[in-house]
Amino acid sequence: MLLPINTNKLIRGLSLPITQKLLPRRENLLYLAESAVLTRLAIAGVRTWQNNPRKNTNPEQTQLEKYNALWERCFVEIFGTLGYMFTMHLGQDIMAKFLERSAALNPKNLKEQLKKLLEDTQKASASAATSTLDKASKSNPHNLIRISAVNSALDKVYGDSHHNLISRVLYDRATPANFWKELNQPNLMTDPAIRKAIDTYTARLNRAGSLTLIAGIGAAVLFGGVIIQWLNDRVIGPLVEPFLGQLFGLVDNRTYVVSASSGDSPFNVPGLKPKPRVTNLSEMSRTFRC
Amino acid sequence: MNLSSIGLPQRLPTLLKNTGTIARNYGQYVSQNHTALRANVLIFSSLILVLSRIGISRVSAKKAQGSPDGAFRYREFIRTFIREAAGWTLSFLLLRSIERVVRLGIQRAFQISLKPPPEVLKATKNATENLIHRSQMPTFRFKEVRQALFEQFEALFKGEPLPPVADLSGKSFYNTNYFSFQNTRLYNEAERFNLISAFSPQGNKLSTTEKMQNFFRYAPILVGSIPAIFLSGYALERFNIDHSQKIFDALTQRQANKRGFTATGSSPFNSPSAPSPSQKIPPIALMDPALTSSSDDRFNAFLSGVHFKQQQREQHAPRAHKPIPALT
Repeated sequence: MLLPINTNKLIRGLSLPITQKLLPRRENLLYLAESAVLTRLAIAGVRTWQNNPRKNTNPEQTQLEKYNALWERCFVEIFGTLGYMFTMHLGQDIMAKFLERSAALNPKNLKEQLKKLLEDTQKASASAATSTLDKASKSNPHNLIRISAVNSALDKVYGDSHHNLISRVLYDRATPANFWKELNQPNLMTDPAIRKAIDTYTARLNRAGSLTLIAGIGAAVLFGGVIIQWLNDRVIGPLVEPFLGQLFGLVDNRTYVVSASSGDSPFNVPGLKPKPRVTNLSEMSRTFRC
Repeated sequence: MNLSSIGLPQRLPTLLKNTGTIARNYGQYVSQNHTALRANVLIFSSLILVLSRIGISRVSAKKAQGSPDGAFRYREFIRTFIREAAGWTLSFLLLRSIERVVRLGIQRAFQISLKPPPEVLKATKNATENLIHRSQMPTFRFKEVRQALFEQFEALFKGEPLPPVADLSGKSFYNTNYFSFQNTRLYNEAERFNLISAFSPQGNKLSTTEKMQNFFRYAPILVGSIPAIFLSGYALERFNIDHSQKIFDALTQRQANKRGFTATGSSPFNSPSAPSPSQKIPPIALMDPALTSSSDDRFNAFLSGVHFKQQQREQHAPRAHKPIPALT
């Protein structure tokens, strides 16, 4: 094991259900294939392999430049792609944790709201009832059955707490259609007040799901698109690549000229100061403007 | 017909209100239906990622001008542009297109429709499903938006009262994901082999049909990913390595031509009093004859051109009315 920590246990301990979907387990394979994670990783691998200096036959590039291109591919394709996917799922998890704190999304609140609604309905129907027999038909046990039916359907589909609720909405088919199917109580479904309460709740959940996905996209673009490319161009290129070149004994035999030098040339302008010629790697790295 | 004859000034508030309701309904539908976003979240983010990578690479190439790393960074910018832009198109657009074609092909072969089956609509067996369909869960896709707007403007130009628009705020939008066999013979065959649930998008797995169901799910993905990996990973990178140099050469030559610095071609400095074409070779080539044919030459010429222009500007800015000595 390369790291002294168990990443699997760490991710589980942090309770990041969306990030856990990236772990190479049997139950995650379909997700990894469907959302093109595996395809993207394979493409990154093939691109890096193609940048092997032995396969690069461009005569215009020096051996050092070919190796530099390889280091950059390794960084952007391998590290960048993995980090991009990780931040996408982590961004979703962070936003989901933030949104799940909202009381409006807590299933317990919906349960209480429905309970109150059913009690109000019962009171209204009891007061409107004319006979004792009618009052008995609207009795408490009947209503309790209805409440328990709603609660069990909510627990089965959305879970009994707000923990990992948005993850279930996005990836575990905690959908309104499944909820109504699970409920299977036509008398509750036709009740406009109950229906409206449940519809509002599910609509809120779905909107929170969309917001979570957008947060994931933002985090991934920020890391994989902006930070990785910036690091590649401003840190890996000018600072790490010369070090790696020296480490592996790669010498650049090309002469670099920064600007026009003095001499008999039509471009010579009086007062134009020539810049020094840079001929070795250490000077190259020093003169690069970060 | 003019605007006052159709009563636009009087009906404009109603029209704006109805249009606003249509827009709000569509916004609610889009925000609630995250199915497409969830399935393609990597692809949408890749699109933005590609654009940001190209942008940053371009900025880096510009900033590296004048440094010894400039040619390499510029070459990498060209390669990044090809790799990211064409790579996204080849991998994801192709992947999803092929997946869709294969999936539709399988559905067409078994004559499966994703509409609710007629027996569900008419059924009395399962009261819940029947109620879901009878209540007709609201949808507000783009074509429905178009239709609603068309109705509004049609009524406006005909001079009829504007049709009311239902406000769908607070409604829950969702899909029931039904499928149905359109052919009785195929349905009977599928039932005989216990395959009906294998087509269900809900993924109601049965042990006997699990393998077949997995095949129907995995086959389009597998078929789509093979050309995507080959074209985007192998062929495109090979093209990039083998041919990006030509693009680099062409672009640097073009830049150098624009600034009047060419190794062999004409330049805006050509004049009867100007030096001969052999003297128009940039200083780098004069200094190091071994590099005369190199593309880095042209890039260095381009760089020296940039410096020449910059220093010329700096030098002559305070006394811009005077002619430039080198050009007179």
